[in-house]
Parts: sequence; structure tokens; C-alpha cells
Amino acid sequence: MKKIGIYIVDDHEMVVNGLISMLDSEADIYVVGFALNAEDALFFLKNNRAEVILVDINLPKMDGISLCKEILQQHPHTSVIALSSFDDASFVKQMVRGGAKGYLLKNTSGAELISAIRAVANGDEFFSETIRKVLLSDSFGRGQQSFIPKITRREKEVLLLITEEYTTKDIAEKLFISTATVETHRLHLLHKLGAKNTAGLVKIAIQKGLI
Amino acid sequence: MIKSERYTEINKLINFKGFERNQRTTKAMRPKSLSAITCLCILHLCLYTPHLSIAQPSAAPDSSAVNSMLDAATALEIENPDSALAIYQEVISLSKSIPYIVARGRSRLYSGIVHSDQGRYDEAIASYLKSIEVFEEAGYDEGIGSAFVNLGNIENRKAQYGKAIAYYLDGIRIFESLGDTARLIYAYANVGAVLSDVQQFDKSLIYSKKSMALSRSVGDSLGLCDAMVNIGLVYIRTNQLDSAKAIYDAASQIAQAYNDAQLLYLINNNRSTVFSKEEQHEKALSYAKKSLKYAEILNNPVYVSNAHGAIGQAYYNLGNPDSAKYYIAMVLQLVENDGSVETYMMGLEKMAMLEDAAGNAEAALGYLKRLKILEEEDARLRQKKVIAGLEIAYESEKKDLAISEKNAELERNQAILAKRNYLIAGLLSALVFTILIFALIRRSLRQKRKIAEQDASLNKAKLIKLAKQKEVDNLRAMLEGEDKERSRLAKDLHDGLGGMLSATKLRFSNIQLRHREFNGSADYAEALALIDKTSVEARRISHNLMPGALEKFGLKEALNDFCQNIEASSSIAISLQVPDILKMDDPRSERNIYRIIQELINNVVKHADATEIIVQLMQIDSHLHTTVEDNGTGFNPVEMVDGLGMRSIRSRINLLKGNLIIESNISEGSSFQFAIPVNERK
Repeated sequence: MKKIGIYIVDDHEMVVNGLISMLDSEADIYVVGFALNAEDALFFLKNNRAEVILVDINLPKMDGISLCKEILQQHPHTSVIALSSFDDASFVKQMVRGGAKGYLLKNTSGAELISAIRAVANGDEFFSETIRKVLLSDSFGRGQQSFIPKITRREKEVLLLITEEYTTKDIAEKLFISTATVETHRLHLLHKLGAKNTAGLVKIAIQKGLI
Repeated sequence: MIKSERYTEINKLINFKGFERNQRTTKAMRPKSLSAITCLCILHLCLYTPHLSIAQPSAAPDSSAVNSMLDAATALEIENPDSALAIYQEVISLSKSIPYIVARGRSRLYSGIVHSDQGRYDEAIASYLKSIEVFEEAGYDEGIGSAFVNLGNIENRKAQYGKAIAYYLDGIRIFESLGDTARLIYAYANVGAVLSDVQQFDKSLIYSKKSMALSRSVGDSLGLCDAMVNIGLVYIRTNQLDSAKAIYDAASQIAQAYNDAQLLYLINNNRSTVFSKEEQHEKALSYAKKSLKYAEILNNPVYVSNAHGAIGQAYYNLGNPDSAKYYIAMVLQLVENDGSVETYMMGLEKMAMLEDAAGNAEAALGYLKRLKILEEEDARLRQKKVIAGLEIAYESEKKDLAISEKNAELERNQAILAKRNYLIAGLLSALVFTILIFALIRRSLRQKRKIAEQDASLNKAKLIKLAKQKEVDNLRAMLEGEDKERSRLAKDLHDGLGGMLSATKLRFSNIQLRHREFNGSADYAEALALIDKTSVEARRISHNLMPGALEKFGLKEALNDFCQNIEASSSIAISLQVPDILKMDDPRSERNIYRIIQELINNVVKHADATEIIVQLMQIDSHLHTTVEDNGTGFNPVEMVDGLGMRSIRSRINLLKGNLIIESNISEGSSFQFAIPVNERK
């Protein structure tokens, strides 16, 4: 059976040692080496081969995101798994965009880590449960935001009064707000609907069925 | 290595303007001055009216002898100052026995002038102050005013500009109340010259223009021309070269009509400076040569040296080193004893450059060394002038107000006097006029009060603005310090504690893999779960303190992460809309905006019981508009009490020069908006 060569890049020696000790007991996995920063890692990989590279995102100087891109450019046949304590969508997305095949949180269990290594070495992707949720909610949620900001409830109230030919002063009195606030709402509405003036605003509002 | 240009004339002229005119008149006019007193100079301004008193019928018969003595002494002042002083002293003791107080005052005053001319400033001041005492006793205001102006001249010579101006203004106050136009023309001119000297150009122009207007009204062409020369200097110093040229052209016509050598020297020398500044060196040369002609007519060594300097400078700029060297060598030779520092410095500098260009490094170095010593001296003087100017600017705020009030009063009084004639002409029309005048006075008083109030409120607004700026600075420092500290804590938590927790978790996992006997243990499983919870908690705290994404990926990504975390941990749906191109000039602004939105959303989560939040950022023209709106329980904004979070929000918005708008009604949700200025998008 062909063994999977692992290379580890993490600036915490404690974590590196923990990982090595965990992976040592697996028959089909061996650790070819480790580095505490991106530069050493790139230097090592010039002359040595590893199937899977575990990369921490938070590294001194060059960070894990740039390192991932760099490794994959120089060694397209290797696979990168991000091992990070960040569970934010922004970090996950950046790593995935950078070509990472897997993303694990640092409090991962030994079993999950080994599964991930095997999956990635086999050409698959592996994201832990938490990360999958993050990616999913991101793509369903704000990831798909429309180009034009939607009209808020308050703005709609103002828009309605504008189309009913209320003056700024009338609107201010009716909504218990200052005329300056009404003007701000009007400005936002003009911007959102792409109107040049109040008449245009009313026209577009009717066209779009907003009122 | 060597500074390129110096404009010697400007300083020189401003420095000595008041006295140069004096010198001209004393030399040219003194012989005639016994009969034609009107020609007396500024410094001897004081001589003017006292001499007139000779003709006053009130003068005692004995007084004619005293007057002859005074006239004789005055004639002696230049040729034989000590004899003049002795005569004045005699008059002082004589006038004690024959009660002729004014003569005593005059003797004191004239003694002061002699001392001043001899450079004995302390004696001069003592004499002037004594003369004021005597004039006060006699109730002779003209004398007091003259003494004040002469004191101003002394303080000016001593480079005590603040004191000089105070004395001039005292003199002006008296002359204004006496309506003494002839002396006001010169007093205004002197204040104008000093103010220009201490770089209070606006104020200088005001007084010089007053002098100009008065000269014009009484047909004093030479006074007018003096004022024009001063105004021209202000224009040169403030780099309004076209205005300077125009005023010198006009002044030149007057000076030529009177064939006044001193004025013609001043005008042409300053014209040379103007063209030199404009790099029209041919023209600069031609005017400099004209100025030399008049300087030689006047036989004034300072003028001659200055003119040589201007010619040398023009030749230098025209690339004619031989001629330049000739004239500048003359300057150095001429000036050595006459102390026109600026010309001397210009000469040394140009010589250094000429020698350097000729390859005589050692000679050049010699000149530079001498220059350096003078420069230090000059810098000290300059600094003194600037400080004096600032002090004057501060002090005269109040005084200006007082003076302008006095002027207005005077004008009003004159207006009333003028109207009185109509009163005699016809009762009816007089009544109408009186009513009109009173209405006018009342109106002008009201306006005055209004203006004063506006001024006061303007000053108050300025103070408030300053205080506010200070407040903002403090706030910025505080918030930045806080952010820095948060950032550091966040990193420590994330890297240090987080790293250790990760290693611990890995080790525990190893135990589980290798020692199967732990697998069934509930305690063991609980311990593992606790480690997980601890790292999640550490990550959460770190994230709240300072999200890593904000620094790495910017505001949009960080807000996206934040909203996602809120959604994951609550039942609120957040609609976040941020333009892709949004980019702040200052990362600190991004941090502040992030914190504001974070705090606003946290408030909604904690208090509003909302199910939806809309967060929108829009760049409209040069402003970034942010809206955070929820559909929660709402509140009455009037009854809202700012907690710590709200205060922090307001501070940050304040710092970003924005304004928070809060709209909310009970059970109708709430809306928070702020707009902050950002760089306009191209």
C-alpha cells in the first residue's frame, strides 16, 4: 500500500508535535516534515514531496492563504488542507478560492483529521460539519446579495407619502421625524431607484409596483 | 547649497521707513523750518504745533524770548546737538521762573528728539515721559500726542514693536479727538509701517489706507505718496506683485511732479525688487540704476549701498559676474559701518556664490562664514518680529474694536454737528432731520450692537469649535488606544490561548486513539467537550474584540462574518448590503464603522426582540450612508437613555464627522442612520 506523505505548516510547535504524534500511529500515513512559517515550507517543498499539506492560516509574514496558492502553483499535484481556528465564512471562502481541498478547525478530532487526509489524498474534498454549515449559509444568505439595496420599511413609508404629494414638512410631521431625516430618506430612495428627482422617483416606484 | 534669493530692500525699507522720511525733511527742510514749520518730519512731528503757539496771543510777552531760544536750539540740533541740548536745559529752568509751562514741555520734548537722534534711547524716553507730565499739567494735548508718537518711534527702533504700536495708537487717539489731520497722516503711516514690519499685513493696510485717504482729503501729495510706498511694500511682502507695480507707477508720477529724491529712490528700489521677484532682471536692473541715481543725490550711505546691492543682484541674475562682483564689492565696502544687515547679507551670499563659481573655494567659504554669523543674528530678530506680530494680533483684537467704536462715535458727532446748521435754517426741517438723525443713530447703534453680538457669538463659536476639536482629538486617541488594546488581546487569545487549546485537544485525541479503555468514560468525553467549548469561547471573545477578517479582508467580509455569526446564534435574519467597491481611505474608519454596526446589531439582538434586521451601506456622492433597521419592539426615542454601548456609538460617529439619526415608535421597530464624508468615487 502506498503511504500518504504529510507535511505540516503551523507556527505553534505544540500543535505540530500533537499532530505528528497523532498521525504516527496510522499505518498508511507518514509525516515527511514540518515548518513553522511559509518561507521554510516553500523551501522544503522545492526538494521534497508530500501528498497532503496541512496549512494553518495564521502564520507570521506570509499567511496560509497566500502559501496555499503558492504551493499549488509550484506543485499542482499536491493537496492542501486548511487547519485553522477561524470558522468565519470569509476565511473559509478565501482558502477554498485559493485551492484548498479541505478545511478543518483546530479542535478537530483525530478521527476527522485522518478521514480528511485520506479523502483529500484520494482526490475528494473534505470539510468538517461546522465548515459545511458556514459555507452553506453563506451561499444562501448574504452571499447572493442583489446589486441594488432593497428599500427598507421606513423608506417605503416615506415613498408612499411622497407619491401622495405630501411635502417634506408634512411627512416630517406625520412620521414625527425632522425634515432633515425626511430628506435623508428621499436621498436614499433616489439612489436606490436610480431616480434624478422626485417626479422620477414616483414614476419608477409605480413602474416597479412598489406602491 | 546656498540659498538662491534675498530681497534686501523690503525689510530695510519697512524697518526705517518712518525715519527715512524724517531724515529727508530734517536735512532738506531744516533751514527753512523756522519760518515754514509745516515741513517738519514725523519724528519731529511734535515740533509742529508747539511752534505755532508762538503766534498765540495768549503767550506772555516774556515768552517771545523763550521761543527765540527754542528756535535757535532747533536750528542747532543737527550741527551741534550738545549746544542745542544745553539751550533746551536753560529754557527748562527759565520757564520755571516765568510760568510758561508749554515751553518747558517743548524743551523736554525737543531734548528727547536730540537724545533719540544720538542713539541715547533711555534718555530720550525719560525726556518724553517728562514732557508728557508737563503737557498734562498745561492741558496741552497736542504735545502729549506728539510725545506718544515719538515714544512709539523709539520703541520701534528698540525693536519693541508691541510697545511702539501701543504708543502710536495713544497718539492717534489724541490726534483723532483733536481732529489733527496733518499729524494723523504721519501717525497712521508709522503704525502702518510697524504693523507691516511684524507681518500684520491686513492691519498695516488699514492704517496705511487711512493715511492715504487723509492725505488725499487735505491735498498732501507727499503724505499720499508715503502711504502708497508703504502699501506697495505690503503688496510685495504678500506677493501681490501686480498691485505693487500699479501703486508704484501711480506714486512715481506724484514723486516726479515734486521731484522728491527720497520717494523716487524708494519707489525705484522697490520696483527693482518687484521685477527681480518676477525674474525680469533687465527691468530690475534699470530701476535699480535709477534708485542709485537718487540715492547719490541724497548722499545717504544706506541708500547708496542698497542701490548697489540691487544692481549687483540684477547683474548676478543676468549672468554677468564681473559687473555683479564690482557692485557687490561696493556694497560690502559701503555697508560695513552703516549696519544695513539685509543688504550686507545679500552681498556676502552673492560674493560667496561668485567666488565659488570662479573656483575660489576658500574665498567663498570666508564669505559664507561671515554670512552664517549674521544669519543667526537676523533669524533672532525675525523671530522677535513674528512673536511681536502675534502678540499684536491678539492684543489689538480688543483695541481695534475700541478704536472703531471711537471712530464711529466721532463720525456720529460730526454728523450731528453738520446737521445743526439745518436746525438754524428752519425749525421744521430741523425737526425732521433731528428725528432722522436719531433714527439713524438708533439704527446704527442697533446695528453696532448686532454686529458686536455677532462678533461675540462668532468668537464663542470659534472657541467652541476649538474645544470640540480638542474633544475629538482626545476621543480619537482614546478610541484608537482602545482598538489597539483590543487588537492585541484578540491576537493573544487567538494565537496563544487558541494554539494551546488546539494542542491540548490533539493530545487528548491521541489518548482516545491509543487507549481504548477511555472510550467508554463519560468524564473523558465531557473533558473533550469542555475543551471544545473553551476554544469556541476563546474564538468568540477574540472575534468580538477584533475580527481577523476586518484587518485581512476589509469591512464587507468582516460584516458578512459578523452577521452570519449572529444569524447562527439567534433567530434573526439579517439582510446585509454592502457595495463591493467600498474602500475606506483609512483602516481606522473601517474599524469604527464596523464597531458602530456591531454595537447597533448587538443592541437589537439584546433588546428589540426582532426577527429581521436590514443593514445597508451606500455611497452617495461624497458620503457613505449606513442604515440599520429592525422590526422589533421599538421604543420612544425621546425617552431613550444612552447606555455605554450607545455612547460609544455616538463617539465613533462623532469622530467620523457623521450624525446619528434615530427613528423609532413603540411596536414599529427602529431605524438608525448615519452618513459620514468619504472620498468621492471616481
